[in-house]
Amino acid sequence: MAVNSIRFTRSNNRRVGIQRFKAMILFKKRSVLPGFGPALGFTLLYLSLIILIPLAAVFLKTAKLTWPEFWQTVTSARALASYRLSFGTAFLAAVINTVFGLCVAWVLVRYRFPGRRIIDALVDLPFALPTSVAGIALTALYSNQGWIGRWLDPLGLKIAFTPAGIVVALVFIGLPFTVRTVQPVLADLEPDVEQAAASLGATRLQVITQIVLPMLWPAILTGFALAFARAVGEYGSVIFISGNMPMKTEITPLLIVTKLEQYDYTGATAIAVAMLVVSFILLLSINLLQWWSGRRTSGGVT
Amino acid sequence: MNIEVRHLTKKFGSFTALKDVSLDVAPGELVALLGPSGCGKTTLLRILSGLEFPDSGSILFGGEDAAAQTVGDRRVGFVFQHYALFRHMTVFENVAFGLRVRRENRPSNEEIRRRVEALLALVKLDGFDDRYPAQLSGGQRQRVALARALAVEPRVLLLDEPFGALDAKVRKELRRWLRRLHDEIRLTSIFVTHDVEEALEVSDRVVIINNGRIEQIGTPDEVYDHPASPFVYRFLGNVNLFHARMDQGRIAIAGAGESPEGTEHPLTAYARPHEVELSRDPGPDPALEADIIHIQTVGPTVRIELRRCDTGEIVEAELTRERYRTMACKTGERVHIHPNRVRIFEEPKN
Repeated sequence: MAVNSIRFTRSNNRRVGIQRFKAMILFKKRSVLPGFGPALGFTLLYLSLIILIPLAAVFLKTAKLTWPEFWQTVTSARALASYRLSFGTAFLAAVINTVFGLCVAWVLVRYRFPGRRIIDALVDLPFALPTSVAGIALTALYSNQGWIGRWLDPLGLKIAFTPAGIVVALVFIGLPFTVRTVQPVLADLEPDVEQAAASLGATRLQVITQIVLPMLWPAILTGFALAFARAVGEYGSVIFISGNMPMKTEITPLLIVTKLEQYDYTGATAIAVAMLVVSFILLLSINLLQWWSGRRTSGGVT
Repeated sequence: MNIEVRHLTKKFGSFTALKDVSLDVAPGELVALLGPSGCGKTTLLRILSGLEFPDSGSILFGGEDAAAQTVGDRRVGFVFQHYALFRHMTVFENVAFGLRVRRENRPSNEEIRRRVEALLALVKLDGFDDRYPAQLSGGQRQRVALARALAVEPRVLLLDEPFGALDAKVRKELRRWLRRLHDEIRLTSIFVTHDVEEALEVSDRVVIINNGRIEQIGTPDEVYDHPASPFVYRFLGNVNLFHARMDQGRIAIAGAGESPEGTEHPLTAYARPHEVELSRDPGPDPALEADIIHIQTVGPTVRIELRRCDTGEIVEAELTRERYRTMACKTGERVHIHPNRVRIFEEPKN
């Protein structure tokens, strides 16, 4: 702004014009919060560098394919099997995480017990641990020789090197998302509201299902969406536990890497585009669901 | 439904919230629990509702011991200071909630609709069925909360600072409205407040609580005109305090009030600002001399701050505008003060 005013001191008209333009675009109303312009500019630049440009490159690379070639690549039997596996296991893992993440958040918020802070810290561990380490550890545990796998094997339950193993790995890496989104909202729920429901004769179960869960619903959805998105893109932990058999336990990210290793760059980006589009549609619909459920309660009760 | 409270005691850790509290509430009465914050009034209300449990003592609802009853079994309507509405439900569903969660003799849907509509009409919110709490004003939210509490046909209505979160004007309107509503439905009701005006204006009887003990129980007139203790006197309004000693008679205000005769104990005389008269001549009564240090007009009254010449203590007087005009006193002027109505309490030892 200072630079602008120096630059345009001579041309008064132009300066006024520019300022009016600025006022029109950026400062529709005078705001006490300064810096809207620079902040938005930085945000756009940052998002472009980090997200938009790489994604655009993916689409550009894919555009080298003709439409039939593209369609053939993304709908090949192997690719379709990998989508089913990736989205299916990610969905299942996100559902499991939503239920158990809610339990963990509930225990951490509602009860005081020795070791609570340690458990609280443990929840973040999947964020920090290299996912390949998690994958190797889980494989070791759940293979038919492993500590857990050896007890499941006689029962006919195979976890490692099956889709079930993939779900286990995805549950592990997704847990913090559901816990950390629900926890603060649960902590902020006023005890008044639950007490009011109890004084109206509701049982504990009715209070939870009719009062607490609906109020947590937006946070639960967010946690689900984050855990799901994270699981769809997960690579490191899954490749160790899945066994990576094409058509059976090959996830889409692995298929992309396989194509890259075969120097099939356009094939890799084509599948990436397919995955991006599906993920985008799914996340968008979750967001819409959230917007719809949040719309009526927005503003909150003060 | 009459309520009997017997020797209630409640501690939170080392803090004693209630000490041996006993109270009787007659059927259809509207009682205010009044006291400064932290005095235990809300704790008492929450124990009555079953949201909190006493360490010792008993509560009888209509002669029946409530100790074993949970909050849901007691059939008390509880109204929270911050409304505690279910923000994900419409106004209609909020009010219907208590009927819908019933396990036995749940009314039919038509019956629920009929009763909720009737309650919304009672709280003057007909037509607001489909709104969400976030779309209502504070006063409207509190009326929804009241309708919700009334929907379960409670035997007792308990209100925790029901107007505490509202602005002054809405507060006044709503408390008058609550009084009329109470006269209409005559449901035994207890409400907690720290606002003296509110307690005196709305309630049939006031229970004044301090430090976990009941200081006085009485009608608004009784507690205002005959405060049982210096605390009650001070709490119910501004006061001027005059130290007095009978044997010396140094301060000649003793003639103005009823004083226990012949005591050797130090006494305290209290007079409210509007009971302090100012004049330029000493008059027949022995009077105190004081300098006017500040004059402030507040609506219909004029507040005058004076400093006594003998002790330097500050005395506050309240005059009507007419009296102020006829007297035409000015800051810095020396006048005589005549407390024309005082209450005398023995000063506590130490």
